[in-house]
Amino acid sequence: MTVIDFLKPKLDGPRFEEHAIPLDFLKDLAVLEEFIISVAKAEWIKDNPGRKRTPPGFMSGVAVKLSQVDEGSAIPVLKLFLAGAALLPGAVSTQQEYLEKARTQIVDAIAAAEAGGNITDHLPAKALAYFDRFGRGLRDGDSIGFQRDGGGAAVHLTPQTRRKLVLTAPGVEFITDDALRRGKVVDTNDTEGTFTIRLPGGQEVQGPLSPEHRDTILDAQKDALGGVRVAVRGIGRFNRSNKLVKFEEVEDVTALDALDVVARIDELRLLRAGWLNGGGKALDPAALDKLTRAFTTHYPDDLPLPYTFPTEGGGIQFEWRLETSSPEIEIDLITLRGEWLSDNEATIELGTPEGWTDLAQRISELVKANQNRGNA
Amino acid sequence: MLHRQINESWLQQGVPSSQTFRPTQKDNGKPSVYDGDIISSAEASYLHWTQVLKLTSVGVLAVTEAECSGKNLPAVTDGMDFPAHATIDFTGCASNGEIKRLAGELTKLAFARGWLHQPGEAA
Repeated sequence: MTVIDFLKPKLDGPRFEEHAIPLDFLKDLAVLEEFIISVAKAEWIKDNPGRKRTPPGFMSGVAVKLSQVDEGSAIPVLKLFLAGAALLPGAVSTQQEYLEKARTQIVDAIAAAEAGGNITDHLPAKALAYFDRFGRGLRDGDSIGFQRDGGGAAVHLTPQTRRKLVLTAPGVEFITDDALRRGKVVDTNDTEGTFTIRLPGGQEVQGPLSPEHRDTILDAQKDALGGVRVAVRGIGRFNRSNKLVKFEEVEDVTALDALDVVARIDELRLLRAGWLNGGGKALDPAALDKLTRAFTTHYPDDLPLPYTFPTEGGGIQFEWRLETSSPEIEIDLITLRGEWLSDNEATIELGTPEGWTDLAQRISELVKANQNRGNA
Repeated sequence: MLHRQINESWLQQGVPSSQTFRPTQKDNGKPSVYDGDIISSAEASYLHWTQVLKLTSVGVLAVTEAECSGKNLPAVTDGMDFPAHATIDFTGCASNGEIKRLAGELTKLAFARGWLHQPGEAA
């Protein structure tokens, strides 16, 4: 058995903080062995024009294994295990030679994608399909860095370069990616084993109806007329315009509160300028993202959810309906400054954690006052 | 009764926004309502709003003139644009906060009274 240091990709981004790799990302790393062997075989055939396939057992006994995780953010140390007797120091087997060539080609293809070069100069088009699985777990802000054999700056696989790599292959019309969508369950089909959700705006998306999510989905379908929505998370198939066309796998289905703020904001994203009888600005999508992130991060789960409305000026107004009071806050989406109105008035900076703490405290006090009044 | 048409985006889970009676920019501090003494019914005001003025509404809520004047918000039927046109005058409010507060109070009163008309329901 020969063991060779093979690859030390550097995983950067929010998912890899604390020098740790999320378990579900191991699926991405697992693709590497198959990917590299496939490219190595193709390269051998290219070097041997008279041959249509590699010799029997050419890649038998080859394994890529994760041996440890180094710090910074997280660096999985991948070693190549080759069956057979160890060679003399410095000697390289044909297996190793082609596997290392394959590694170089993959990294060069990523570099070409990053630099806007010609990707198929480095990898055959059909091999690019592996990027549909390798790197799928990357989110915005994440990257996998690779050192090039000749040194120099590292190259990075990001969600954007991955997309370029997959869609470069001729005939490829779809890419799979993590997907999270909120909508109403409008159909279930036990015969075909599918369900369908309707997204804000009317688009319908189908997914597999698996036993572990069946009850949640059927309950949500029954209650859909009453406004109940679900959040579906899984692997989605996207077209070239980055529009989700179906869920290929469903990992989680959650029934949402009727006042779920994120789902409501998804609806309000669709408002066009003039929504208020000719007046009313459209809401800025990036600013809505910012507010959504802040709300989900900072608003405590144990407090009542607000009703969420657009404002004429293109902002958002949260309104709480408590038994004895109806506080509200009108939020400028650009500055995330909120104008609080209840028994008192205040300006609350919702661009800061302290602002959210202030808001939560105000709501919490009003909830307590309601409860005390109810108990009196 | 002063009929107010409700914008679809200002209704969530059947609950209207406190902005319902708040003046918008084009209102110059005086949001429009229909004078229920002049127009025959809430449904008629809805039909005028949606079919004649070609604007959108998901239903009609209403307050009384007395409820407005009780908050120092004069309600005036001016007959501008169409005979039943009336306004609720917020121009005497001292601050934006006061406008918001009083508009919210009118919404509460109207919602507590219940829908005078919703499309798809028997009149």
